[in-house]
Amino acid sequence: QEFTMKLATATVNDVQTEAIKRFAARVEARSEGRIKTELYPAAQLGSNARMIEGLQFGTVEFYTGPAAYLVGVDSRFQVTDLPAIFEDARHAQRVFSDPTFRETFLNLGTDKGLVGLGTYIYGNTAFATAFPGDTVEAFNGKKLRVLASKVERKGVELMGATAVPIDFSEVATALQQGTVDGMKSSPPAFTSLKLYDIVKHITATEDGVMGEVMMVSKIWWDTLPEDLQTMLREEATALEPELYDYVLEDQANAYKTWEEMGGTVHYLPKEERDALLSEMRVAVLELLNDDPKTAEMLAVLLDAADRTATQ
Amino acid sequence: MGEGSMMQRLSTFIIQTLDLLSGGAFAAALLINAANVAGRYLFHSPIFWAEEVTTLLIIWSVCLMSYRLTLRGENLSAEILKPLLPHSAQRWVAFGLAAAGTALCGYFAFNAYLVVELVARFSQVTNVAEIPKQYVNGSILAAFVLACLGGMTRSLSLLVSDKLLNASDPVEVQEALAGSK
Amino acid sequence: MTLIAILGGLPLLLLIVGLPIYLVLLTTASVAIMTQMSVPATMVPQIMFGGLDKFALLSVPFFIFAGEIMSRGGVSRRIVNCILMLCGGLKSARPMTAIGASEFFGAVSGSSPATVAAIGRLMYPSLREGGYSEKFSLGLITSAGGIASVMPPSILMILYAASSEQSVTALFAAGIVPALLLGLVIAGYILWVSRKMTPSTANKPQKGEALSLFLAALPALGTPVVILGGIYSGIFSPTESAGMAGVYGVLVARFFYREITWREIWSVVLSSAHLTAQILLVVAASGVFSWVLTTSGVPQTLVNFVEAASSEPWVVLLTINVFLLIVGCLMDPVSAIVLLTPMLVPVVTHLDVNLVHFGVIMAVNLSIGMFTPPFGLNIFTSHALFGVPISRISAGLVPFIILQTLALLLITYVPAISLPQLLF
Ligand code: NA
Ligand code: NA
Repeated sequence: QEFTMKLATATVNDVQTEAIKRFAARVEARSEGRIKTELYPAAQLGSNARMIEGLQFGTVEFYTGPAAYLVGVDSRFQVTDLPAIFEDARHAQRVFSDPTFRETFLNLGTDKGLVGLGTYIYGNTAFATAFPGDTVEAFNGKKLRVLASKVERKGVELMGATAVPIDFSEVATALQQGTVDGMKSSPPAFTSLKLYDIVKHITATEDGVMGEVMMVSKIWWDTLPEDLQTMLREEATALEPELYDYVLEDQANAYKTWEEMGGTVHYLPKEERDALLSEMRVAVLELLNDDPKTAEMLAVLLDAADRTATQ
Repeated sequence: MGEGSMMQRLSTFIIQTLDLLSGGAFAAALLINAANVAGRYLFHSPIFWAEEVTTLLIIWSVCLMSYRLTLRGENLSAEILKPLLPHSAQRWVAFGLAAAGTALCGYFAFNAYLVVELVARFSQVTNVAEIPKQYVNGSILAAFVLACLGGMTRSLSLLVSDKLLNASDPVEVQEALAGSK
Repeated sequence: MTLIAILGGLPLLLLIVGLPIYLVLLTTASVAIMTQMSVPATMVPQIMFGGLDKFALLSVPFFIFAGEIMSRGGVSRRIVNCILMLCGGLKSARPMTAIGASEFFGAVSGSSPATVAAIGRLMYPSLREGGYSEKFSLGLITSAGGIASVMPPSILMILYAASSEQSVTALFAAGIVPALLLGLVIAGYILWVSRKMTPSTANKPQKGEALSLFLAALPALGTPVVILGGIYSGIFSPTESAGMAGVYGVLVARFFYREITWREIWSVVLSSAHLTAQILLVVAASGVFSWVLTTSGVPQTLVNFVEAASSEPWVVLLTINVFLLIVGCLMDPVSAIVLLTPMLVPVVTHLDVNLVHFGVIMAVNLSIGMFTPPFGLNIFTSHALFGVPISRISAGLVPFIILQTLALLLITYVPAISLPQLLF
């Protein structure tokens, strides 16, 4: 029997596009023509929210995108994006590859029609700003665009700034006109949005990572024979290290491009960053421990983080 | 006659109720938008759920209007055949279209119900305001159920009279004329 | 191949029969899904919702509301009085005022029929009184309203922007000069028609009166300033600006001009919701249709076809223009723009046509469609407003359709008209 797999993502020319391309190539090769693949980058099949629903209804077979868009499905999906948990991106990679963590995290959506195949990251978190953000003080009183999660809001508030929700379609205009003073995201996102034409500064807070998921539709998954299911899991796991390598190189290039385009990359003074991160850690642990469900997931994450820490 | 006016009264009541809800959602969206701008610019405290909720209010406002649009045959359509037909044939074509539309909307309503049922079963919520998804996706279900009802009323009404046939000008023209008085 | 037949033939058939356009799109998509694709039919309501769940689309209802509240608040009369005063002793004062007022009213409203009604009600009697023929007066009023769909704010451009993922702000900026050009072409024709008229003396105001007329029109004419000023000073985003224009309209009409009651404001809310629903239902359904188009590779097929037929951008653009003018005769511009944008954008992208420029071309073209018979919302408005048979209005429109089509060609082949930045 032949299967068709539509692989969808919201962007172009980034790690997400790389993920669908490389995964499709692996699947075509390993399945020897039993799975036919079609690529739909650039949100051709709809926004992130639509593609996730598409998985649940069986209209899209494979999707990759930020874990942050899954919090409406299950609030536990926010754990990959917590600040002040990982030493660096490679530590995040070790945590997300930890078997115990994977077992729990990838199954969070199974009873809601979403089978998790793998995770990776979009990059470290950072701010693109209209002002030079070389100290925490510089962020005081500024308006910063963040995703709507409580965790992201809390993080920005701890820096003394106002968290502002602005629709993604209007972020560039809002930055240009000063409706907001900056936005939180990841360096590869800043350069692919060409934000260097609009603002001059990046502050590499690198307080966390932007977690990404690779998922397939449960409806479709259940029609696959076991050998193909196993194959998909294996290929996704095998693809992950490649994606981390790609994204970290992409991120290094993004910082470089930013400076080549006349921008500046700032780092917070070490003691200030340390103090900020420990404040953030206390705050987010408190937020997640409020709810027994997220508390349990948090415990799994922290255990994995301890096991894989270098210090 | 009695039956007709009974149906008419009920239909008018439905339109008025839906207008109130739809207009209320529309006005609320305008107010929330303004409050969010003021909150962000003047007081540095934006309304976090403003964008999500205003969008949803407008979607509901749109969907609640579908009874009125269908009943009066006001949905946008390309009137290529109609002007070429004699009046009596126009009425039968209009009846056929209303009946077919009712059946189609029934089919889409059924599928919309499946969607609502699924998101309710998964107890999903929206990302920002954490509104249960069934209230969100329910808007499309409402639109089709109302279109189905409106189509049924329109078909029945076309059987007894041709009053709804040459109902009125296109909506944008109606609004333009009302606006310029 | 069957799929292409379904996606091309079925909608044409259903359109001709007269099924509502949103049902045409949904039915076609459903038939394609059921017979050719392995996806469940639940995707129809799911993608429909997705078609509406876009923050940027909110500017459609908000600009509709803003425009309507202004037209009920006595704004058009003040604009007309102000421009009539400026045209003072010209031979062509009356028709010039009609065209000028349409430009300014267009900068407040996104609706062409609303502009026809607002300006027509005031200027048609005045034109006839001034000795202009019924044919000329009807043609002028009915066609001048089209400018409102090109002059920002423009509902057509918002819908194009949402579908092609272009910036609304950029499209709005690109529409200003073309909108002025459309007026300028008509102004030239007016000068020629009015060459034998005697200057009107009736409307020559005193000095003090001139100032007060100008001041009275100022708050109304302030709408674009509020919109653009708010966006450029960072107070609000482009989408939010539409809502703020509505709030500003309420303030001006209710508290400054005091020409509208709260009850009337509520009725504007209702009629705006009514019109919004009519437009956005088609937008939602077109989302489903373009999902099916995308997954079945139709845009790519179209690109290949055009590539094989001609690689000359000017030939393709000419073909598209002729096609759109025909569509504009038969269909309302909202349906046309949401239906055709997803198909035409890949074709012109392939030819390296700037997508903002192409948005302007589509908007200008379909704004002409608003007054090309047999189906034209502006024509219907004039018909209802003045009680003149559609055939007589259509006869009067002929020179205006020709002139606006010439302007369309200029706008198509001189990109710098829409994108002045190309000159620097
Ligand atoms: Na306009
Ligand atoms: Na037309």
